[in-house]
Amino acid sequence: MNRLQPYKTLGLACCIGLTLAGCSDFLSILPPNEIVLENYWTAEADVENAVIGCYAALQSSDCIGKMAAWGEIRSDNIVPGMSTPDMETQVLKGNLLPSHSYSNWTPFYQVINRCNTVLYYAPMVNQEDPNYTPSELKATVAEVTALRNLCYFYLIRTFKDVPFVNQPSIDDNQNYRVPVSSFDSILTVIIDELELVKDDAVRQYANVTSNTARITRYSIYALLADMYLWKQDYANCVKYCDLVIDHKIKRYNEEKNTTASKVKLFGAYPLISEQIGGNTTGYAYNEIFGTGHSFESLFELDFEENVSISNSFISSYYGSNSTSVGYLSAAEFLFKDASSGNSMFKRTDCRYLESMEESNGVYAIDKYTRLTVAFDNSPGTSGTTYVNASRRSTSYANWIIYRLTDVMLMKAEAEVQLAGVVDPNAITPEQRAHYRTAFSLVSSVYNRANNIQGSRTDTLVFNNFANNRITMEDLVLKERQRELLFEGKRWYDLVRLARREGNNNRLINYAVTKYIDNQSAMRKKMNAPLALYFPYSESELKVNPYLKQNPAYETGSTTNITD
Amino acid sequence: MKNYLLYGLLLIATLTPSLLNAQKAGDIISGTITDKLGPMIQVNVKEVDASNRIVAHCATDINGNFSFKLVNPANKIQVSYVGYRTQIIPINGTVYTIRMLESTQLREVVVSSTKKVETGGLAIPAREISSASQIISAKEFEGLPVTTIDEALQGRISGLDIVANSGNLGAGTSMRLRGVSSINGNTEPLIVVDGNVWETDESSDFDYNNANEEKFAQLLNVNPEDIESIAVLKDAAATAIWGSQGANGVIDIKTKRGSRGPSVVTYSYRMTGTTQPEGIRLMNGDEYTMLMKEAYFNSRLSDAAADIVEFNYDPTYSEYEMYNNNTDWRRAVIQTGLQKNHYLSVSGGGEKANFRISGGYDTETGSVIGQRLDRFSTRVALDYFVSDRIKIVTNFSLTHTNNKKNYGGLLSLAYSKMPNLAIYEEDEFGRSTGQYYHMLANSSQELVDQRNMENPVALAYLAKDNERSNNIQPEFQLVYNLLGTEHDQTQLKYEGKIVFNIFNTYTDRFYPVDLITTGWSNSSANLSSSDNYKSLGITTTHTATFIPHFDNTDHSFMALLRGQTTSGNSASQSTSAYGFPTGNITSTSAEAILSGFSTSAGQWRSIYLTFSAHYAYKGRYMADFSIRRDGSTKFGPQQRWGNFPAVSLRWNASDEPFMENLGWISMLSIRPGWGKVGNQPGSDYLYFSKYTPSSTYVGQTSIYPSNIRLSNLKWESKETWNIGFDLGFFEDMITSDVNLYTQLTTDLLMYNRALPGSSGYTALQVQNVGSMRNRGWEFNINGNRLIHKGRFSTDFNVTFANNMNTIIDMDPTVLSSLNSQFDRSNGSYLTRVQLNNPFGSIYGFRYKGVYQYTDYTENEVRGVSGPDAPVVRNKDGGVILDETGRPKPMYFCYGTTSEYEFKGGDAIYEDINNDGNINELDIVYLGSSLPKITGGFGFKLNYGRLSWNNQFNFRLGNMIINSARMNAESMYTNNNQSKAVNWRWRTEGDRTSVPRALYNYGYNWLGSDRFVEGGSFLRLNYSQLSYSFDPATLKRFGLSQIRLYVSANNLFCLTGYSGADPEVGYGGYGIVYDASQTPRAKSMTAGITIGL
Repeated sequence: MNRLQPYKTLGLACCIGLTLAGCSDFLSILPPNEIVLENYWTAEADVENAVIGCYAALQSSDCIGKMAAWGEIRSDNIVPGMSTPDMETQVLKGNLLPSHSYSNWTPFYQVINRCNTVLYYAPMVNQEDPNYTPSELKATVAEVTALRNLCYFYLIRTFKDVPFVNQPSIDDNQNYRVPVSSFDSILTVIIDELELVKDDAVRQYANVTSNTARITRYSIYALLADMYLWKQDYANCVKYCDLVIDHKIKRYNEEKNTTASKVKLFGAYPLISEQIGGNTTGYAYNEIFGTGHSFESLFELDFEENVSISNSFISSYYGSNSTSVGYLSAAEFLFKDASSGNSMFKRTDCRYLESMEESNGVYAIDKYTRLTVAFDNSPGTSGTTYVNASRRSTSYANWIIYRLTDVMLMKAEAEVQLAGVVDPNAITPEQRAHYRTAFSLVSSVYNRANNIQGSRTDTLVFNNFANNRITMEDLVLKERQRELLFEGKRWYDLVRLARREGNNNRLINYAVTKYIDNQSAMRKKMNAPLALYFPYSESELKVNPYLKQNPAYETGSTTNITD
Repeated sequence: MKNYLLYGLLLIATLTPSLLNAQKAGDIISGTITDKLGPMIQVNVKEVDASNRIVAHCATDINGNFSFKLVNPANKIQVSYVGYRTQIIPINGTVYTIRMLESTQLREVVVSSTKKVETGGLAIPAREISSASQIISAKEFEGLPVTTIDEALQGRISGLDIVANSGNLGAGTSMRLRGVSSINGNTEPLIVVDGNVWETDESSDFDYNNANEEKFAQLLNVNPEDIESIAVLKDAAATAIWGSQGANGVIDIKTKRGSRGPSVVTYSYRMTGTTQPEGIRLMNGDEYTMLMKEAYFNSRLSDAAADIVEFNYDPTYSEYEMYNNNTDWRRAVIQTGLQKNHYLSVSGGGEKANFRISGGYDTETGSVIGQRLDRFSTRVALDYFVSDRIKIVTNFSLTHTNNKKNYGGLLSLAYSKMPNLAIYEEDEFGRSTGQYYHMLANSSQELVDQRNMENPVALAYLAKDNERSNNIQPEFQLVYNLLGTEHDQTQLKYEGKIVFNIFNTYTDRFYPVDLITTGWSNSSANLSSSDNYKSLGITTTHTATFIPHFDNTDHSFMALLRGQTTSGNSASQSTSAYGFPTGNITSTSAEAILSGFSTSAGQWRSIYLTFSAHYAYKGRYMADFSIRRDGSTKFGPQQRWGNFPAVSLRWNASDEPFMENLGWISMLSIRPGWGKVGNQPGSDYLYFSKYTPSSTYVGQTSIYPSNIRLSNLKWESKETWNIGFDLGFFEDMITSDVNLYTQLTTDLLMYNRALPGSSGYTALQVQNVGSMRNRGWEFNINGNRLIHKGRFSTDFNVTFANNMNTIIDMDPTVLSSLNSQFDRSNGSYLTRVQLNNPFGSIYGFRYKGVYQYTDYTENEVRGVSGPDAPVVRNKDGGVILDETGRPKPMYFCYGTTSEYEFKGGDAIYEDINNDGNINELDIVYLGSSLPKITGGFGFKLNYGRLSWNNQFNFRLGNMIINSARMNAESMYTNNNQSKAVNWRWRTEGDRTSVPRALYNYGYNWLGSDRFVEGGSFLRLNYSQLSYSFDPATLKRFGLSQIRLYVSANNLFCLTGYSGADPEVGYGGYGIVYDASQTPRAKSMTAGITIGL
C-alpha cells in the first residue's frame, strides 16, 4: 500500500494543480457591453458622460410625463381627451390611488441617484486626471446639485414629505429604507446647497444649445427664485428673479442690433415679439415652443429630430400629427367663446389660439404639438383669427422647465406678497410701489401676447387691480395660467396658494371650475388638508416600513384575509 | 499484494531477452496457420506487448503463410480470426506452425457479475447504494410514442411530478422533484446525458416559472431510442457530486453503446395518430348573438346599445352573409395529427473496438392545424481499446430540429372568436368563395377586440413561426489504467474528457398584412423577424478513480477525484422589418422598413472539484462520503466558492447471519443520509457596479450606473436529511423502496427583489431572502414476474409520493411585495405567500349562486319580487332594515370608485362579515394548488411472446383555477362563451346558478370558488400490446428480431375537473391556472422493430 502513496498524491496534485492554477482569473469575467465601476471614473470624459446620464434620466418620458402631469392634470386646465386611459380618467375624477403609476416617484430618484453618484465620484477624478481642473469640478458639482435639487423640488411639491437621499446607491450593504424628511427641512437643505454652489456654475457653454439645455448659473437663479417663492421668502425670490431678468436685459442690449427684429422691449422687459412685420402673429410661439432654445428660455429638456429618444408624453397626452386630440384636452372655459372674449382670454390674445383648437367639440391641446402657427391680426378686425398651423411629424418638442416670463411672474407674485397686509382704503406708497412693479411685470407679459405693438388698445389698467391684495394675487395667478398654460405649472401655483393661505378654499374654487357636474363631490375630495398632494405608491409602502401613507388617502380598511 | 505488478513487468521486460537470448529486435518471424481443413487466408497475426498494444502486424497469404519483423523479443504473438479462438504464443523461435481451433469447440463460460450502477461518479454495486435514487431501464419504454423521454417517465419515479405544458408540438413538460424549493429561481431538475451537463447562458431576466422550452430543447436532442437507462437522483447525498447544478435533483441519462459481438442492425418504425379531446363546448352563432344582445342591453339598459349591426341578421347589411353563420372555430383548427418515426441503429464490436451508430428521423404534425416538427438525430459511440490499459472513447451526436409552430395560440383564438362569423368570405347567396374573411375596419366599434383577433385558420396557413435548431456535441475521452487492469488488482484509472457543445437556433417569423385590417402603415403589417442564437460550450474533465485491492475481501473501497472546468460563449442577433410589398417576400434582408435590430453576447465559466468515496464492509455496512467545491463567476471573490458535502450510510440487514432463516426476504436495508447542495443565481456580473451607455443628450453620449452591486449575495443552500429503506422479497421478485425526507432551503434566492424607489432602483437583481422547508415521503414498489405460470407472467409497479412545502422564514417586506392587494376587479385571485404556509394557496370569494329578484319581499311575488334578492342579512339570515324600514341593499366595495349595487341576476358572494358590503374582508382561503399525493402505477401481462403493458398516473387533492371556464362563462366581453351560459339568468324570477349577461359591467366573475375546481385525476397514460416473433423461425429469413406493437396514449382520464385536461403546469408561487392551453392529445400508435 505504501508504494501507492506517491501515485495517489501525484494524481491529486495533478488534478488540483490543473484546476486551481489561475482559478481566480478564470472565474473573473467582465461584462462585454458595460463598464464596471473599477474601470470607470478615471478621466474627465467619464464625468462628462455621467453628467449627461443625469439629463438622459430626466429626459425619459417617465420623468417628463410626471413633471407635466403632477403640475397640470389635477388643475382646472385639463379634462379628458380621446381614449383616455383608465388611470388618467381616475385622476381627472379626483380618484388618486396608491396603485397609480403617478404615485410612483422612482424616475425622479433615478435622476437623484445618478446625480449623487457623480457628486460622490467626481472629486476622485479630479485627483486622477490632471485635465479635470478644480474649477471644472466645481462647475460639475453646481450643475449636478442643481439637477438633483430640482428633482427634490418636484418631489416635495407633489408628495410634501419624501425620503431625502444624498448618497449614491452602490452596494447591497447600504440601507435603502429611508424615513421621510419634512417639506420644510428638505426645502431649506436644497436652497442652502444651491446657495453654496450657485456661482460655480457655467455661465455659457461652448455648444449654444447647451446654454438652455443644460444647467447654467441663470437657471440655478431661476430655480432658487422658485424655491424661495415656495419658502415664502419673497425678498430673496425677488433678488434672484432680478438676477435672471438683468441677465436677459444685458443680453438684449448686447444683441440688440442683431436681434432687434425679434426681441422687443415690453415695458422694461425684453421679450420675443409675436409680430414681426406684416399682420401675421405667432412668432413668439414659433421661437419658444416651435424651434426651442429661444432667447427667453432658461432651462429646457432638449429633444432632437431623428434621434431615438422622443418626447412621447406630448404626442400621446397632448396630441400629434396623427391624433388631433391626445389623452388630455383643454377645459371648455379656456377656449369656448374666446373669439368673443371669455373670462380667461381676450379675443386679441394670441395664446388661446396658440395653445388650443377645437376638434369635434373637444378642445385639443396644441402647445408643444405645433411646430409653427400663424394668425391674422390685421388692424381693424375684431380679434386675432386663425390662419394656419403645422404640427410636428415626430414628437421632438423640447420640454421647458424655466423661461423668462415664468421668472417675471414669480417676481410679480413675490412683489404682491411683499406688500403685506393691505388696507384697501389706505394703501401706503411702499405697498403701491410693490403693486406697481408687480403690475408692470404682468402687463408686459400680457401686452406681448395681446400685441400692443399692433396698435391695439386692449390692455390692463392698474387701478382696476391695485386696491386689493386678492385682486392683485388673482391678476398674477391668471396671467401665470394664461402664459404657462399646459406647461406643468398650474397645479403647483394652486398648491402654493393653498399653502400660503393655510387652507384649500381658494384652491378648490379654482380647481372645480372645470367640472360641469359633481362639483360638490370634488370639493369634498379636495377638502382634506393633505389632499393637495399625491398618495405614496403602494409598491413603495410595501418595501419601506418607515413610510406612512398620506392621511388623505388612508382607506381605513387594510386588506385583511379571513381564513 | 499485486502492487508489485509494475515491478514484475519491468523485471520481465529487462530480463527476458538475456535469459532466452534467442531472438532480437529486427529478426524476421514467419510461419503457417492452418485449421482442420488446411491453410487459412487473412488470419491476423500481431506482435503485442505486455498491455496488449499491437506493435507489429501482418496477415496470412493464400497459403496460410505470414512473416513480420520482430520489434521486441519480450512481446508475444497473437493470432486471431473471426469464429476461432484467439491464441497468444510467447516468442521463442523464428518459425511457427499454428493450428487454429474453432471457438464453438470451446466450453461455454458462465459469467457471473454483480449489477453495478454508475451515476456520475463511482460504479457501485446496486446493493451498496446508500443514497435515494431510482433507476429505470429504457427497455420499459420501447415503442412508446414519445418525442422526449420525460413524457415516458410520468408516474414512474416517485417524487418526480411531471406535467405536460400543453399539447402543442414542442411545448415540453415541467418537472418538479420533491416539490418546489425556490421562490422564483430555477426549479427544474438537472439533466445529465452520459455525464455531460448542458451548459448555456441565461439572461438576467430569465423567467424560470415559464421557461421550459430550453430544457425541452435539451431533451429533444436525445432520441428516446438511444437511451439505455435513466437514473433519477433525489436526495442531496446522491446529487452532492453535482453540487450547485444538482440542487433540484438530477436526471441522469445513459445512452446505448456498442458491445463485443457480431454487428446488429435494428430498424424500427412507428406511426402515431393524435387527436384533440373536446374541451369546453361553445355556443353556436345563434346562441351567441342572442347572448350578446342581452349583454349589451343589460349593462346599459338601452336598446340602442344593443343595436349592433353584426348581431342583427339584417339582410340589407352589406356583410350580412359573413355574420349569419354557425361556425365551429374549434373544429376548424383541429385535425388528426400524424407522427412518423424512423430509427436505424448498427452496433457491434471486436477485441479492439466497440461501436454503435444510430440515426433517427421523425416527422410530426400536430393535432392543431399548421404545426409540424421534423427532427433528425444521429449518435455515434466508439470505444477503441488501444491496449488493456488505454481506451479511447469518442461520441458524436447531432440533432437537427425544424419546428414549424403556429404564430399564435390558435385554440385560444378559436375559443374566443365570434361564432356567427364566417371563416371564408361568402358571396350574396352565402356560398364560400374560399378567401379567408377578415372583419372589416369599418365594423362596429364595439367589436374592435374581435376585429383585432385574427382569423385562426388564416393565421395557421398565412403566418409563419419557424424555429430551427442544430445541436452538435462531439466528445473525446481518454481512459488510462495506471495500475492493475483486473478485478483482483489495485486499480488507478485516469479519465480525461473534453466535450464541445455547439448549439444554434434560428427563428423566422412572418405576419402578413391581410390578417388584421389595420392598413399598411401599421408596424405589424407584413412583419418579418428573424432571430438567431449560437453558443459554444467546452467542458474539460479530469477524473482519477482509485480502487485498492484488499487481501481481506471483507473490505472494499473506492474513491474518485474529479476536476472540471467549463467555459463558453454565446451570441445572438435579431432583426425585424415590416411593410414588405408582398407576403411572398419574408426575408428580413429584403427592402422594407427596419423596425428592430439587436445583438447580444454572453459568456460563462465555472470550475468544479469533486471527491467521493465509497466503503463497504462485508457488503453489509456501507458508508459514502462526497464533497464538491464549486467555483462560480456569479459571485464576487468573497463568496466565489461553495462547498457541498454529503454523507450517507447503508446497512443491509438481510445479509446478516441472523436473517438467514428468513429466506423470503432477499433485501432489507436502511439508508440514512445527509447532504447539502446549493444554487447559484442565473446571471453573471452581479457583483460589479456596471456603467451602461444609453441615449444621447445634446449630441453627447450618456453613461449611467445601471445596477446595485451585490456584495452580500450568497449561495442558496439546501440541506437534505433522507432516510430510505430498501426491501426485496422472494429473490427480489418484489422490490420496494421508501424514502422519508426533510429539505431545508436557506438563503433563498429571490430575483428582482423590490427596493424602495428612493434608492433610484426598483429592485435588486437577486437577494437571499429567507428559508423554506420541504418534507415528504416516497414509496415505490415493483413486482418482477410476480405470477409466473407456464407461459404466463405479470410485472407491476406502483409509486406515490407526497410533499409538504412550508415557508419558515422571510423578511416581512419581501412577503408584502410578493402579496398583491385586492384590485376590486373581476377574474383575479389573491396570491398570498405567508410564513408557515405552503406556496400555492388560492384565496377568493365564496360563490353562492344568483339573486333571483332585484326587489325584496318576504314572500315571492312571481316574476316581480321575492326573498332571494340582494339585501343585507345578519348572521342568522334575518334581513337588516335601514332607518326608513326598508331592507338595506347589498353593495360591492361600498364607498370606493368600484362601488356597485347588486341586482337580480347578479352573482351572490357570501358576505362573511355580514356588513352588507362585498369587499376584501370577504375573501377566504379556497384551497391549495399543491397535490396531496402524486404518483402512478402500471402492470404488464406477458403470455409467451405477447405482452400487454399499461401505465397510469394520478394526482390527488389539488385545486386548479379554471380560467378557461371563467373566460367562457363571464359574459363580459365579446368572446364566444360556453354552452353552459344558456342557463343564465334572463328575467326576474329565474332560478339558476349562472348569472346574467353584462357586457363590461358588474362583478359577476370575481375570483371565487365558482371557478376553483378539484384537479384530482387518474389517467391511463399508455396501454401497449406487443408481440415478438420467435428468433428461431426468423433466423431462416436471415432476421434476428421482429417485434410488433400497438399502443394507445392518454386513452382516458378519470377526473371531476370540468376543463379539457386537469394536468396543468404550475404558475408563479405554485398557483395553477388553466388558461385553455392545447390539452394533451390522445394518440394511437403502431410500430415495428426489425433486427438483422
